Amino acid sequence: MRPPLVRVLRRLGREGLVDLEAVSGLLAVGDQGERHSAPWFVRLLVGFGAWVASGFLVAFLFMVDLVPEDLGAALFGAFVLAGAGALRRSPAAEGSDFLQQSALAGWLVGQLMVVFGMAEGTDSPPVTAGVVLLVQVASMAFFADAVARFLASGFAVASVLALMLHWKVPQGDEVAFLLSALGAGLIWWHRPALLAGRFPQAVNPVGYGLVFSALALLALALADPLEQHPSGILASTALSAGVLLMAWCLLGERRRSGPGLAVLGLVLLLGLATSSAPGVMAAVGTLVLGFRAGERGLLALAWSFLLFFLAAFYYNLEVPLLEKSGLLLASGALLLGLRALLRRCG
Amino acid sequence: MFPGSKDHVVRGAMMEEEPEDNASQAGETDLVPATAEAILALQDQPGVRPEAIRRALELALSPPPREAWARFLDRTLLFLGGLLATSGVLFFVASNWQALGRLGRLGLIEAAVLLAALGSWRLGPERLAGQVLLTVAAALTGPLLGVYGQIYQTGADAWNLFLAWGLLILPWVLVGRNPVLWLLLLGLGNLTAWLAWDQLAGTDPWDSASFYLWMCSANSLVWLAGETMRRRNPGALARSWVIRVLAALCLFYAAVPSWMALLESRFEGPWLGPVFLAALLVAIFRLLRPRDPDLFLPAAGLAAAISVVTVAASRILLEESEAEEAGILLMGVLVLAQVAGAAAWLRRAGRSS
Repeated sequence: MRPPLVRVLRRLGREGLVDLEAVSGLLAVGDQGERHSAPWFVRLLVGFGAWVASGFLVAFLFMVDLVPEDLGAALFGAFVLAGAGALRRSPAAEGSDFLQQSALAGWLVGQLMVVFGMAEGTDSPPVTAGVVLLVQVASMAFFADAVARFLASGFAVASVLALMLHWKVPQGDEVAFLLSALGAGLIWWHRPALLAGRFPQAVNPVGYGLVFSALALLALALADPLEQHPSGILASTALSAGVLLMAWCLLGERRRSGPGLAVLGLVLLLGLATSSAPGVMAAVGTLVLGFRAGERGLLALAWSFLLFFLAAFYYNLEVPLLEKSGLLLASGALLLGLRALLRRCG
Repeated sequence: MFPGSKDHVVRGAMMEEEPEDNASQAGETDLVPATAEAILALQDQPGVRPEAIRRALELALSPPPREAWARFLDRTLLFLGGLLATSGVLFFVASNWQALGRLGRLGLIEAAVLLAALGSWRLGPERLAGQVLLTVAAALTGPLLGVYGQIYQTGADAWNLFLAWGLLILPWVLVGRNPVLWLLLLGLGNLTAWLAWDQLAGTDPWDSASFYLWMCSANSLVWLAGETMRRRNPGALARSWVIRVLAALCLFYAAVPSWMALLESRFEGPWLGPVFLAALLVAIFRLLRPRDPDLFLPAAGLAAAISVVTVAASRILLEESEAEEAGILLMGVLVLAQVAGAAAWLRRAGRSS
């Protein structure tokens, strides 16, 4: 999905931005950078290991009464977070996987201490959620670890959800979903510019974290354990508008052509048909973002989520099964019909 | 940066541009894709200015060309349309709509299966639409049997229903050479065994070490057959993720009885689980790893091994030791050390592949 690095470097050489004779050396460095990025399953293993290890470490701290009470615990957690951040950035951690994992586990221990201390010390959910949100923003920017940044985006979305629920915002879980989806959309849409900005290493993990959190929130809203009874209309409408906007931008000058109008019409009709099943438009939006960014991970996430969403939709009691069946059949027929039409139009 | 814009045209040209040197002279590094990670690694190199990084990101990460979008739209409409329509039929069957009558329901879904199968036959399994239709026909065969079960009260979760589903779609799976169909067949095989164990033996399969060990053996044989097939005829099972799922299943079936043996020691063959797991790890690291650069199997093997070592350590440090606090701390350090060791090995293996 990406052009070879060698072509990009030669092009830069022709444009006078790099020395053409240095291309082979740069290619070797780029190759190492590409290989250094661990595949998703290694990151999953590392993240899961850090969770388990931090669980043991927190239990140890409590058992030996090392944790101060109330706000003291939050302060203790802040020190642990700062220490973990310093350890992760230290030159020694660069070449040591053990130190990197220790820093990640320490970061999780610090997070738990901050949440526990703030909740106990202030007894105020919005203050706790606000402080946790700030800690996540700082972690995303300054904690130099992809797994931590991914998790921090999830914790940030959870804090926003806690605030929405505390303030009894109507359809709070859907609003939290939309904020997360908007953040994810903006990050992936403007990725090249953000990668050239101040925090390039944070862009991909935070982008993935926000997409994952948004999809998880949508699935959560469907299962409705918080008894918010979401209609899904708010999420559906906003998602349809978002996908329509993306299609409008991507079509460029062709938006007034026959196929262009057909695509825009399809998005509108699909949005209407799946108004009680927002997962379909969420998957479509993620697919478009993933393809545009050339990220296979996003495409896989979108398809996996869609399968999960359809299974959860089956058990959702808000819409009768026969109605759900009609809705899915009509949407499927619409998509297949448009494909046939576009093929006929060439 | 949209299709038709200046940057988009540049990206299109980047994708289509011919390499300047002869393809036969291309080294391994010439195949490195221009990912964000590869470009950002150049940031601190002497002679690379920030403008060069910005321009490289612009060239490499701008949207795909128009033709690629057309292909993407065509495939997405086909896959998504097929998935939603199939789900719609499944939901319809489950709704058990009485107004349609018994024969109506049976006839409707039978017609859907027949139409999909005929459509696939007409288009041919080598075409994408043919593959999708074949998958739809295979997926709808189960609900067809389910409707039969509803009407004639033979049960919708009987083990022989899933066995019949698997047997009926077997020829399509062999003809289709489609990884999704292989996965469906694999899932049906495992589900059939689970239900048969539950319904015929009358014991909970989740609580039986023998069930896991039998399943580990059966899935390992399928895995072996899959590996052999992949080597003889790469087109038959080209996608390695079918193998990945099979391997992960085998490791899971070997790891669970190992945990049970360590925690409860109540099975007739308490050390068979660890023996099976050790055999799988030898197969992954000694036989497959030297030939296959894919890191998923070693990562899954290491995860299974870490889980068993952690459970064994918890038994020694937490249950049989009196210094509980020290045991908890040691457990944390042990997990960290194991994961760090695994990550270091995997990174090294990735770099050397």
